[in-house]
Order: sequence, then C-alpha cells, then structure tokens
Amino acid sequence: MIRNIDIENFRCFHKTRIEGFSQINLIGGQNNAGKTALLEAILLVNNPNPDSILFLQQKLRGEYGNPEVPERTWSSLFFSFDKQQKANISALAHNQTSYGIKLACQDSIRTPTVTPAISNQDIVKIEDNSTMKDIIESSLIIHQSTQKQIGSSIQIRAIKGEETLFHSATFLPVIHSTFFIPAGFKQTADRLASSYQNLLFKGNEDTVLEALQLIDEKIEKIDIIEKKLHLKRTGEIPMPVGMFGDALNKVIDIIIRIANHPHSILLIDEVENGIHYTHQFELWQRLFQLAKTFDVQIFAVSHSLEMIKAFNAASLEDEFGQNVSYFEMFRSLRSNEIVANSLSKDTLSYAIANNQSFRGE
Amino acid sequence: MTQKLIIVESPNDEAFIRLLLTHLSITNTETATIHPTEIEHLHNFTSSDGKLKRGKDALPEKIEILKRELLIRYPQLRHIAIILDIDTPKSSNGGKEKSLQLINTSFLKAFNISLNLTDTSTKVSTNVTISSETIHLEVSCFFVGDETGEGNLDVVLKKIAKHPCPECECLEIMNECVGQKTGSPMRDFTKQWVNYYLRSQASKSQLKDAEKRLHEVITDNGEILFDLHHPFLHEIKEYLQLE
Repeated sequence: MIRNIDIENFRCFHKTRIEGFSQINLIGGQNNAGKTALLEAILLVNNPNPDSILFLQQKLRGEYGNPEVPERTWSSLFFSFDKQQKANISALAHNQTSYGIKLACQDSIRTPTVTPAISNQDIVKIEDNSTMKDIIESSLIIHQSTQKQIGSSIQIRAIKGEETLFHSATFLPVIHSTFFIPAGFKQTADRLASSYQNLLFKGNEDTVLEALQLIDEKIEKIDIIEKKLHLKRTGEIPMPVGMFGDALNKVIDIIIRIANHPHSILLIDEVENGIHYTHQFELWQRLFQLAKTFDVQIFAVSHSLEMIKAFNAASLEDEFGQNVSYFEMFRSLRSNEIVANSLSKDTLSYAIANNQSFRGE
Repeated sequence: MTQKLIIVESPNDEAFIRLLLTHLSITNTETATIHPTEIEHLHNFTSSDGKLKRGKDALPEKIEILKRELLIRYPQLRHIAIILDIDTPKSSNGGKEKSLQLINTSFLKAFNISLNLTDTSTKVSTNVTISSETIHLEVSCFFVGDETGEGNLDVVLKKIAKHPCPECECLEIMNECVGQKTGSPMRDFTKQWVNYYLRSQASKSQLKDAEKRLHEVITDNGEILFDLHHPFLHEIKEYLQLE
C-alpha cells in the first residue's frame, strides 16, 4: 500500500507531496484540481509500462497523438507541456520501501539506412509504414528505480507518419497491480463475464451478489449466458447486465476487480456516477469491508457532496473507519502548487455539519 | 488582504467583535465563527469517540479546517486571534486554564506543534507546515467573561447596555422570584436578559427576524445599542488592537 507520493513536473503537478494515504482514500476538489492526474501518477509509478501510458494518453485523455507531429505526442504528460523537464513520481509504501519513475522525452531526426525498419533489436515494430525520408521520432523514456534493484528503462517511440507507437520488448517490474476505472467507464458484458468466471473458481461469487443487492434487493442470481453476464431479478427472466443501470454495472466492475485481485490498488474516477445517494452509505461500508478482506488499497475521486457525506458517515460507524482518509485537492494561493490536504473524519464531520468548505472551494 | 483572523464561537460573538473593530477603525482583519448560526443543535456533531461536540468543543476541528484555509483563503494571514467564552470552570472546556489547554491541544492536533500558549492577550510565534509549505504564524487568545473569570459575551453585553429596559427589569424580578422558589436562578438568565434588551430596542420590522437572527439587531437604524466607551471593554479593545 502506498503511504506517500511525490509528484514533480507531471501533468498539472509542478511539485507536490501527499502524505498519509490510508487503505481507502476519497479525494475531493474542484474541476482541474489534479484529482485524475493524481490517479494517473499512482497508476504509472506502480505499473510504468507502455500499456499504462497508452491507457492514460488514449482512453483517459482522448489523446491519440498526431502522426505528422510525433514531437507533440508526449507533451501533455509534462507540467506546462514542457517536455524538456523530466517528470518524477516516487512513492513510499507502508512497509517503508520506496520506488519511483522518471519520465524523459527525446526527439531525434535520423536518416534511414538501406533497411528502413527500426534496427534496434529491443524495439518491437507493431506496424511498418516507414518511408525512405528522414525519420522524425519522439521517444518517451521511462526509468524505474526501486530499493531492490538498479534502475532500468524502457522507451516508447512515436514516429512521423506512423499511426502506431513502438515500444521496448522488455517490461519494467509491476510494483503493485493497479486498476483504473475512468469516469463514465462501462465494462463490457463479456469482459465482466470472464472476470466473474474467475471469481467462480475462487468461490467469491457471493461477494458480488451481496453488493448488487445493496443497489437492487430484487436481484437474486448472477449468471453467465452466451459468454455474457446476466442478472436475474425475482419473478423476471435473466437480463444482460448492460440492460441495467450504470450503478449496477459500476458496482459489479468494482467488486469483481477487488475480489479478483487481492493486494492490488484500485483507482476509481468519479465514484459517485450513477449511484443513487440512498445506496451510497451502504456501498461505502461494503467497500471498507472488501478492501480489508482482500487487502486492496482504494483511491476514489468524487465531486459529490452526498457521496462525501456518505463516506464520512460510513467511516464514523464502521469498524474499519480507522483505515479511511479524505483528501481535499486545491491549488495553494501561497505557493501556486497543488496541495492534497487530509481532513480527519471528525473534522470532515464538523465541516459537513457547519457548512464549512472542504471541496476545494 | 487579510493579515489577521479572529475566530469566535457564534454569529452573535462575531457581530459584536465586528462592531468593536469598526469602532476602533481596525482594517485588514477578518472574523470567522466556529458555528455558523446560533441554532446550536443544527451544528452539533458527534465525534468518532461518541462525544457530542457543541460550542467551543469544536475548536480542534475549526483549527484543522483553518489549515486548508491558510493556503486557499487567507494567503497573507499571519495572526490568528481566538476569542472564546470563558464559561464556568466546572464545564469541560471552561475556565482560563482549560480554555488555554483547548487551544494548545487544537494546534497540536491540526499542525503537530506545541504552541505553548500560557496566557491571554499575548502573541506566541510558531511555524506550521502544511503540505511542504512552512508558514510563520502568530497566535493569541482572549477569553470573554465577567470580573470573576466566568461567563460569556452576554455578561459583557448586559454590562454595557446603553438604554433603560423595563422588560429587563421585570425579568430581573422574575429571576429573583425563581431563585426564591427553586433555590437556583433562571436558566440562561443573562442570555434572556440580552434578548429582552435587544427586542425592546428593535423596530417592528427588525423584530420579525429577531428571534431567528438576533445578532443582526445589535444596531438599530445605525445607532449602537451598547456603550462602546464603557470601561469594561478596555481590555478587549486593547486585545483587538494587537496587530
């Protein structure tokens, strides 16, 4: 589990240290306060591999890059789009081990040799559309260091005219398996089915059913039909999970990821999406229990006052409330740096009861 | 930009302190309350140890909130002044010693610093660190009460009321009567006295809202209903002028 994180020159962060993460962390704040960027930093420092980078660039931010200007591909990863400055993300785990990554960018122009393909042996070419013209390319170099091993690097290249990216054949060690559920993300029914199948093998399927019954008490059975996840409500025929609302899809996705991946980190952007306020308190209680049972660290982001209230109420009542923290993110007017300030559960409770600000306003 | 913040318990306290600040022509000073309205039960909360927190009991939480406000709301702040009712030493945070301890404990909890505030009307300097930012602060306090070291703002307001008030005189007679019949004075007698005084001076239109927002009728048509030159205010006025 991560206790502290230091982020420098990454996305909207110039230089920020956040200390005191718990097992379950709720992060509030205004738009553009750096909440999603914090989740991204946590993903990258734990799994600094091309999949993570591509996920952040494409699925999360909708940035596919322009093959005609490869030198702009990586800019948005760096503070103020200044890719001349290296980005650093380092973390300290609860067991006092530290690890980190550096991101650097290198642009180059080279004249192709007789063989137009990339000559480096450790570079996998996914698709080859190169020509005999000068090759303009921009490389993102990811350097990882941990206490246990001497640092090692991989790189991802964007090449002019190429629709796809090229990356090193080797991979960096994953520190903690980390899963990111973006805002508005809806997992497909067949992916949910295959994940649910894993749960069946482990005998954890009741966990999901119980959580779903918090949202809809009439759900009595979960089934896989034609490789798709189906839910059956009392007195009704089984229906594909996609036919149910966002809340059920989201809860299934969250619970399955927790139960399938013990000792992992789960990042949830805009956790409140689709979940009615009357279910939020019990959902938090369930998440507290599951996080403890499966030793999963959760970082959830929310704008919703109701969601934060429910989180606070659950943390005050729950026996696992000691493992819970609320962080408020905002930009300091003194230093102009992004700050994540933790509020104790008593202070959050006081702030809610006394109309004090606690969401970056 | 605000350089000094005065924290008080309630909107009534805040209205009175603002009145004094205007009277003293003090600028660059803001006020904040621990609780936003006088309707106490709305803002009480139960802490994780099961204790119901009311009034100044919530100072530790207010100071923890101040931690974020030093960065996001008061970037120029350098002096935090805390004005609390001294109350009775018999109550959980009442009396001078326990009130000082409450302030010291609040800063220890929020900023992990030993403030060592040992007296009223005296500033202590300290550095606090919030998310890698170190801020130099001065902290001071003042306790409101009577000459015996007990009471609250109502005691002061009763002393400095400017106009005669027949209703208040009747209430005093009633208080004596209650004392004779029950062996103890009326509950919240001083608070009631001030309420009757304010109501007696308020216009009809002000009276409509008076019960909900009594603190807003401290002045009536620009006239200040209290004697701000009263000698009893000498100490608090000196304190407010502490920069």
